[in-house]
Amino acid sequence: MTDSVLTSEYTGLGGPDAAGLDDLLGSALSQGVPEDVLRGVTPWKKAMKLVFAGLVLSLIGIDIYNIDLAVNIAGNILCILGFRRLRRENWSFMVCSVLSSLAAAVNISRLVINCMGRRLELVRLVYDRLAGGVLMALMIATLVFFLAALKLVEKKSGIPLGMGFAKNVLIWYVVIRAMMFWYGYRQAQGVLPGHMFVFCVFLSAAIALCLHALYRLAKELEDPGYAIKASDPKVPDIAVIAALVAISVALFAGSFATRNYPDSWKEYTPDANASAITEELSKAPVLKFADPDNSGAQTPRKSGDTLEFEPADPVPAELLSMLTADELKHLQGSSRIYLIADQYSEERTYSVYAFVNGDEVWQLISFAWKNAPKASGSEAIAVTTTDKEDAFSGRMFCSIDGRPSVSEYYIPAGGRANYTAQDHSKSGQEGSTGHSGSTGSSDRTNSSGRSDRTGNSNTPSEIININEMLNIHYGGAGVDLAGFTIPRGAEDLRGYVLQKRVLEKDKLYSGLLMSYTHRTTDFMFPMHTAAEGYVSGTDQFSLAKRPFETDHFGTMAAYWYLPDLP
Amino acid sequence: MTERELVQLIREKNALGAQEFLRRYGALVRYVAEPILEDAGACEDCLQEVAHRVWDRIGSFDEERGSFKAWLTTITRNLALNMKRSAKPAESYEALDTELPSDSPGPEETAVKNAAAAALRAAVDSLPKNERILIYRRFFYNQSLAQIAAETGLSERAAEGRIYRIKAKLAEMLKEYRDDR
Repeated sequence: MTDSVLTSEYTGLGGPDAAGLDDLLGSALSQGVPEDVLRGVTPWKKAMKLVFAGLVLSLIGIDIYNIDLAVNIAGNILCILGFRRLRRENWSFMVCSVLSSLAAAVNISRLVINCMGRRLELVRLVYDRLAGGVLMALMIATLVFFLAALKLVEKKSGIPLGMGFAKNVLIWYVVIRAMMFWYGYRQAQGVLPGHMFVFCVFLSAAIALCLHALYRLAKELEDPGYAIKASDPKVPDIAVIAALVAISVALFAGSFATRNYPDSWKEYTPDANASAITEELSKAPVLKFADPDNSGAQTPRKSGDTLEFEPADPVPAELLSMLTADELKHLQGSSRIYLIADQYSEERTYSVYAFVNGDEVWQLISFAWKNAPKASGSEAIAVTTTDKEDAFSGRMFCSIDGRPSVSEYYIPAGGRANYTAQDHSKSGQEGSTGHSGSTGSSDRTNSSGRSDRTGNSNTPSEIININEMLNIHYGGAGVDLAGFTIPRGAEDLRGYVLQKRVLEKDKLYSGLLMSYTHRTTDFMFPMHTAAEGYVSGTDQFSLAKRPFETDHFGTMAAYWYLPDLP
Repeated sequence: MTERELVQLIREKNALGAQEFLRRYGALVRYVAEPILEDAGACEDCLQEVAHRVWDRIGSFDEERGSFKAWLTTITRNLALNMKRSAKPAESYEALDTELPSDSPGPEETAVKNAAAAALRAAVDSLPKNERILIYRRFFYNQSLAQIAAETGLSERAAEGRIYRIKAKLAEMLKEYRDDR
């Protein structure tokens, strides 16, 4: 369409040029305004629609296909667009506008940290935790100032509205949030058990009631809302949306580039020096706990149970063949070998052997995938260590295009620093029930190695702060994190960890031995490496499959009930 | 108080109805009148005039044909336009040349213009909602581009461009209507 259309002369109906058409439109529309147009022409309603849509999206704390952060950012954008229209109306709306912008900035900064990937993954956990707290505070402040802004509009209009219900609901929302925060903190410390599902239900109800109450107030202010002077948008909505979406998408895409650990897979050549020791150890007798009542229990259930052992199959040569010659030398000449646990999850098998060799006990934890993993990418193993010097060793194996390959573990930045010394005599005693030999994907906070944490005396001072902050989040460290990346098309994936345990008071103690965190989907948002997935928790209330699942494989009780060593 | 209850009070000539009307719909009347009159004092006069007219002519309001708010909006808009027209200074009598024929349209021209207006109204009704709202904002509410931009989140330039394109579309529709005839 060009000017020629508007300025062309028409015959018959007169010929509305540009000005003529304007006049004709003025008279053509003078008969009245249709209802839908009437509803659409108001400075108040569209702003309120944007604000409420934004608040709903910002308040969604549950994951929908792991896109909670994207949903929250969308909510922030809508809130910004809504509140900025009203910012000149009163100071409370202005504050809401600023708070929404801050919330968007915090969420986008989380995406920026995501882009740093594995280099900052433990920092990210701390930051995420802090950001979560800040966002919660911003949201509460936004709701409070929003209510205050509505109150000012009500005052200006002179039409009294019942605001008591909205105030009460808002107070309850804050109370529930505070309780969740406290409960989460205590739960992370291992003091309180269980999940927060009940809180989530109450919180959802409080959110729904809160929004309903505010929405009702906003609706009642529709007529007085005509007195609102919409602020001139210096930057049009579409530009704000485009900029924030572009930034978010770019950062989201950037996170994909750094979400895997460095790939160190190389072709595997067996160590010729190891074969003789492998053969010797694979013939040595192995004991395991007897199961006379055929209960399936691999360990005694409670103190005082009669300990009975029975012969088990020798340590498989395939398992031993994964070890290096140096590692095998630690095991060579072991006086006794115990099969401590032999467990299965849906996708993986695990086994734990204890090699008693003089004053030393070496535990060999191995895992193997039953089938090719469905998702490639970062995986992580968390191994409990007994003191700073007591590092573990281990490797991963797989077959890539039919070629046997091997990879060292990647210790994430701060992975070793994640260590916090434990007093094992205490942790063993207090946490020795319930999880022995179990393999499962939940209830990590009950695991013994986490719940009883004492003594940081062996921990280097420069890492204590990080640890303390992380402890708030996931309830204790005392673990080393080892990561690796599963290549695409990998088959026959397996690996092991060899670790020396300490002996004390003629008994052997151990905490949680190992957790295996697996990436379940290629679609991860926000980006987490497996190590992050492990420490940030995978048991949040979620509508979708989480990007990570963790098998917790604890055998502490099994060690606890080992007979006294000679 | 619901809209229906308020209308009933006005129908009963209850003073409470007039009071409530001013409190409840004062903002709407000012919102509609202000872009046309562009003067706060004139807007207050308009509000008083609208209140009188609603009080006097509430009998002509038919709930079946639309909401009270729509009726009130139309009254306000047309009254504000009349006030604006009447506020214009009259041309001096001496300046008029009595020998020249009158500028006011004749019956045939009026009929053609009315037909064109009806066709244009039908064309506007056939537009998508967002486009209709923009056209009404500009040509019914007489809102400035700045006000439209502020309330819709568009830039002034974008609002102007969009209205221009809608007008071009309407002109095309009008042309088709003429050709069909």
